[in-house]
This record gives sequence, structure tokens and C-alpha cells, in this order.
Amino acid sequence: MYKVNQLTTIFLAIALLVTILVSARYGAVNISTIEMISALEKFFSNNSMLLLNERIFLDIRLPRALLCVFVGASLAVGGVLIQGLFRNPIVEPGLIGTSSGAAMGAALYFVLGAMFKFNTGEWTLPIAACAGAIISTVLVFVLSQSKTVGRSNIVTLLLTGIAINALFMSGVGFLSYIARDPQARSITFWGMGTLSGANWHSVIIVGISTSLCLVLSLRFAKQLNILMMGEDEAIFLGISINQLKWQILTVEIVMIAIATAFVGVISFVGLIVPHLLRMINGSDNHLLIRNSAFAGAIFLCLADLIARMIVRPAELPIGIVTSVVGVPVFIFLLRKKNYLF
Amino acid sequence: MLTAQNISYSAGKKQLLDNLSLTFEPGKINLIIGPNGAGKSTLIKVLSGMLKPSTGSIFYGINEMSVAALAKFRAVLSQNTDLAFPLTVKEIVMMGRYPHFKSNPSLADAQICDEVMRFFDVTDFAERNFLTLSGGEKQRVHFARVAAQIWQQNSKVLSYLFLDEPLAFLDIFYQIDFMNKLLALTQQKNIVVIGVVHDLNIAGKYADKLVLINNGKVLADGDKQTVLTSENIFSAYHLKPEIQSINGDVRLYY
Repeated sequence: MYKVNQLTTIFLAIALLVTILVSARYGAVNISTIEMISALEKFFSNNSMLLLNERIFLDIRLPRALLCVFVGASLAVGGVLIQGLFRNPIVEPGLIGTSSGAAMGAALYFVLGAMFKFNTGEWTLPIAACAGAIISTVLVFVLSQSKTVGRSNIVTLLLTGIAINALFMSGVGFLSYIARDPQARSITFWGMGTLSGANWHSVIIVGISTSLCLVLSLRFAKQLNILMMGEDEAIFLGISINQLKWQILTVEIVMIAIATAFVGVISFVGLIVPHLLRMINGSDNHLLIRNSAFAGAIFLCLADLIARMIVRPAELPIGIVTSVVGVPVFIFLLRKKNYLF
Repeated sequence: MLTAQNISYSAGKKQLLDNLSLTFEPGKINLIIGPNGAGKSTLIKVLSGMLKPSTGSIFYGINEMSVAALAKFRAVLSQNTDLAFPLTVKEIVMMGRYPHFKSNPSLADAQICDEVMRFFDVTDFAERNFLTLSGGEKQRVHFARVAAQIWQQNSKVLSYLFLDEPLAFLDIFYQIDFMNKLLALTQQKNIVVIGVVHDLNIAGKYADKLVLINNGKVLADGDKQTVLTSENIFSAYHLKPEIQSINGDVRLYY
């Protein structure tokens, strides 16, 4: 017994590879397979004589697809962590303030950076986003704790999340109103997310944080399984519950904040992906975390492709695409009786 | 053996347990009875290590245990533990082994799970979604899980099993079924069993030792014939049932 079903994971890994290639190939300009191969050849042989399409593939499409992979994985796994922590399938990083806090931190970085013209290292933006996300998430977490029971009631949690999200997003709105930096000025960017700013620099930073947090998340699988039965049972099975809560929250915040710093707030990925996987493979977190990383990456790649194709040569904010898919799933979950609230 | 010495527990100004001293022996079914609000659940929480007593101490034979170390030989079965997400029965029973391995279960862990599932007759629905089971089946699966947690490979290791109103929400078939399983488990394994029950007839049938508590104090402590007397029942419950002793079982007719 307890043989982990590898089939879904293998299937998802192959599907991810295909999705990356498809997503890199199609867009405002379609790139042929031959161009993709020759671009990669030149890249590895340090040949800088690139044709236009090869340049588009290497400098725009490929980093964008890879950023989709890392951000999608982060959002989906962040969703699994937060759902396990609150024992509820309808929470996700966007609902408990993490994303809006990160957006606020990032917006503040752009505005202050432009105002005071200080030189910053490449990790300043991620750190600013993390700081914002820590403030907002901890605020939601602490404010929603019931005084009598000592744990979060789900209705209080969601309502507190809405309030804190509104507060931080209006902060973002204010900052983008006074901002001079073109990136921070774009309110749609922060509110609904876009991957149009993808470059190798952002791929590397988000890639490092995603990989690290993913490894840490996989180590929580056992504890998250136990947590499904409630906090008392978790203590009886030998878990130091408060320590675990803060560890999970920390990983979730770092993961989501760094992704959000580069792509803005993308909702519902953390909700849909784990939910679909639970329907296929059950809720064992060993499988769920790993598969969510792959499926989240695939989902975001496809969403980005749709966002680029539907009004081409222009593009939609990706959050519109994820919301169109995500809201029905959210409502379905709310109405389903099988889950506890 | 589990020994509690002069334990008291207060929440705020309210004293829930008042200077209790008790001992519980392995191989016996020890049951705690008492009216609502008597402090039964608090007592089981203090004994199982969930709550620290305000004063007094509890000896498991080993002193000063971490939460993780305690989980290897002490299990607690609560009433009505539900799940936030669907899981198979097999996965839930395996959770009982979680304190014993780091990331992957050993062969021994898997064998214990199989053995425990057979013992509790849950093998047939091993692959089913826990959330689709009936209340009685759910409780049986949880019983299998806590048994797996303290299923020692070395019979010399003494384990402790705490039951916090395990029969609540069960129909009479599952109540009797549960108690028979508990009896078999107690006879086969080296464990100290301490449980809280409400039904005095269940207590009168299965208990080897009874503790009757009222207002946070021990009212009577001993075998069922000495505890289930008219005077004791009247002072705890204000009822005067007719009490009969048949073949070692004590029966109450209200």
C-alpha cells in the first residue's frame, strides 16, 4: 500500500513541456519549429547573429513561458498550502491578502525608487513585495482569529481578507496615481496581472524562489495531511502546531510575494488547480503539492497564451482569463455540500 | 501504568478539576463516568497531555516528553473527527503511523496498517472516500487509525489509549461493536485504556475499573459493583435507578 501514483505526475510533466513549446510558438508573430531550434542552437553556441524571429523567441517568448511556469507553480502550491493550513478548499493566496500586500510593496518600491533615485540591487523588489505581503497576510491572519476559540472562522477570514485586500489595492491605486515609473503607473498590471514584463532577470529570481519554496512545501505534505483532521488531532499525532503554522505561512508568503512582484495579482490559480487535482487524485498532499506545481504551470501558460491570442496583436491582462475560469469554480465550491465550512 | 497525583485544573476562575489522584493499569478497560459538566473531558485532556494541569503531575513511566515523542506511544480518539478534504480510508489509517516515520513509511508501517485494518474490519472499504462513509464506519476507521498509532512491534513497550466520548453519535450496534473491539484490543495489546462514556449500562458491562467524577472531584473509584451503587448514582445524577448485578455485569433500569 501507499504506493504513490506516479502516472498523473508523468502525464503532467509531458503536458507541461508541450505547453511551453506551444506557448512559445504562437502569439502576435508565429515562430516556426525550425526557427525555435536554430535559435536554441545559436544560444548554446554563443552565436549572436540572431534573426528577428529567433530574437523574439529567445528574448521574449521563452522567458515569458518560463516565467509562466514558475509563477503558475508558485500560485498553485501557495493555494494548496493555504487551503491545508485553514482546512478549507475555498481560500487562496489572493483571498487572504498575500497578493495585494505584495503588489503594494512592489508599487511602493517603484514609486520611492523613482522619487529618490537610489540604486538598488536585483533583490530589492522581491524583498519589498515580501515585506508588503507579510504585513497584509499577518494582518488578515491575526484579525480573523476568534478570541474565544483561538482559530480562524472561515467567514471571518474571508471577510477580513476582502477588507484588507480593498485597503491594499486602494494603496496600490494611489501609488500608481502619483507614480512616474511607467510600470507602476499601469493599474491594470497590478490589479489583474500580466506577464508582458517577462525577461531573463525575472525568470531567474522567480525561478530560484519557486524552486526553494517547492522543496520546502513538499516537506510539509505529511503535516498538512494530519491537519485535515483538525488541530487537536494534529497535536495528538505529534505536531507542534504553532511552529508549523508559521513555517507554512512563511513559505506561502515568500512564494506568492516574489511571483506577484514581477507579474501583479493573478487570482484564482491557487483555487482552481488544487481543486481539479483533488477530483482526479484525491487530497493526499504528497501527490497534490507535486502535481499542483506542474498543473499550475500548465494552467498559467495556457491562460497567458489565450490572453495574447484573443485580441492579437494586443493582449489582455492574464487575470481576466484566470477569473473567467476561476469564478465559476469558486461558486461551485461554495455551493458544494461535501466540504466543511 | 499511568499515575495522576493531586491534579487540579482551572480555566480562569473556574476550577474544573479539584485535586484528583488516580491510577490506571494496563490490560484493563478504565472508564470515566459522570454527569455533564463534571469535568470528564477536561480530565481526559489533562491525562492525555493535551492540557497541562495547574497543579499536580502525571506519570507515564517516562518523564518529560516532547509532543513528537509522546505521539509514538500515546493515542487519543475523539468524538466525531471529520475531514476537511476527501481522503481514502487507507490514507487515514496510515496517518496513525506518521509519528513513526520521516518521509516514507517503512514496510513495517504498511504491514501494521494492513493488520490493523483487518482487526477493525475496514479492509473492505480501504479504497473508499472517507467522507462517503456512515458515522459508525467513520468512527471505526478513526479507531483503526489511533490503534495503528500505538501498534507496537515490541510487546514490551507500553502504550496509552485515551477515548474522549468515542460512542457519541453511534447507534447501539456500533456502540457494542466498538466496545467489543476495544475489549479485544485491550486483551491482545500491552496498553493502558482510559475512556469517557455516558451510557452507564455500557460502563456496567465493559469496565474493569470505573471512576465516577462530579464537580471536578472523584466521587467513587473502583470496580463497577462498588462504583455503580444507588447512593453514588443519586448524588451524581439525582436519579434512583434499579440496579442489578447479573453475571458480573451491572445493569441499571431507570
